[in-house]
Amino acid sequence: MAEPMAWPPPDDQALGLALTDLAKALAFPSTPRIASEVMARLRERHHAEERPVRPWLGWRLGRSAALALVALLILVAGAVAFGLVISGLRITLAPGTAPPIPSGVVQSRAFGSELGLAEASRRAGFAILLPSPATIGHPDHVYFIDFPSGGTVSLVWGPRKGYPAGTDGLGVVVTEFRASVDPGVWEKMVYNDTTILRTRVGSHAALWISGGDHAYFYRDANGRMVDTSLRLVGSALIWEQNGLLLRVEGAPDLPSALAVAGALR
Amino acid sequence: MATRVEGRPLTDAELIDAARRGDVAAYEELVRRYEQLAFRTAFLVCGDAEEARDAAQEGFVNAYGALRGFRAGAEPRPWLLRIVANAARNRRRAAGRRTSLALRSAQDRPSDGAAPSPEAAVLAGEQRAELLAAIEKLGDEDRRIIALRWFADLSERDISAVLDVPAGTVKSRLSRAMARLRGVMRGSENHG
Repeated sequence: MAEPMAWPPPDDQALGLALTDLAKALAFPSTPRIASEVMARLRERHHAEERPVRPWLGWRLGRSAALALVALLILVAGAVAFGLVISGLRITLAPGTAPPIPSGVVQSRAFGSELGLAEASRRAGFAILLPSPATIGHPDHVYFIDFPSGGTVSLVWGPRKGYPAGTDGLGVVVTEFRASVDPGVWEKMVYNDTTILRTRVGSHAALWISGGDHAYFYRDANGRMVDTSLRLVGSALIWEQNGLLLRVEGAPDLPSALAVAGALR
Repeated sequence: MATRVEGRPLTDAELIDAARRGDVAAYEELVRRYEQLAFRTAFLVCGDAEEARDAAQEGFVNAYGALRGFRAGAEPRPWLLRIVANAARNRRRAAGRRTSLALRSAQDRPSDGAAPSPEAAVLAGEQRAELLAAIEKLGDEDRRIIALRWFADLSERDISAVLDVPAGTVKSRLSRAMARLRGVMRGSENHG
């Protein structure tokens, strides 16, 4: 203490000074390594909750049957599209006419800023893939967020026939960004009650992740690991195509997701 | 990845925002930023270094799982301290023990770097020991709120989060604890 103080401290101010002085002379136990342990536990949690991969129809129907089903879906989608064209009827929602998405949902899903397609494509630096209008129509909303490196484009549809509202009121969300996924990592980083099914979108290997809370890690364009566990809602179809990582969320089942995914051009 | 402005470390809010988008490194940086404060806070809540370490780790793991529910614009520091303190409180209850302050004088050194006379140094050391002994005589609630305020250097807002009580309650509890501490010291003087 620099100067003698009245003792015992006569008021709260003097007591506060004495406590401040005492605090400087006290020793807390040294702080243990917490950050490294926390991150190790988070990684362990992913591993501990690993679930075995169940190849989609691989054992039950065989590869040929799986391919046949995908082909059937494509044919059905094509037939529907053809039907719409010859009838001359095309129903699309122009951007901006759909009901706005609540800001809380935009924030929790980390969609970013709502933009036009051209501006989102310019900022992302890649051509955005869109599903043929006959599938689910033009996206109601287009968002861009500068994350991960290179940015992410989210195409959002409200609920519509065959694609009912999810827990956050959205129908389908297609996400496109530059990233790569280590196939070995894909299937390890899942939570309880999550099932991963191998499938294909066209010629591209894909995974259908459904049930429970789920997550996967990927490497962004700069090679940094990114954890998706905080962004995913519901089931998701994930695959790489043309240097992009593509994800379809909100489809009620795998065939519905494949219908959207297979129609992306 | 969170975008860095050259020469400026990311704010807590920016780190939380990045972590919510899946940036694992951002969350790790946030944990490193708060590990000492979280550990010390947990230590003052549960009174045991090993339990405090486990509580701090558990708190940060729980906070990661709760990132999705973090309210945008809220302050990360009291949010993190609240979660860590909850983990520490649960451990204290499970152990069922009365917490001791368990802090000791680091050494008999001049706390402000000055070079006092030997007599002044002895006097200051005795006064610190007397003050520490008086704090130990207080009840758990008084001792804890004084330690959080003065030893962990938490703001009333932080203490409000740690104790899970309104800020106004912190102010009144702290005032009563200080008055009781002065009372204990006066009593010691009368009996000494």
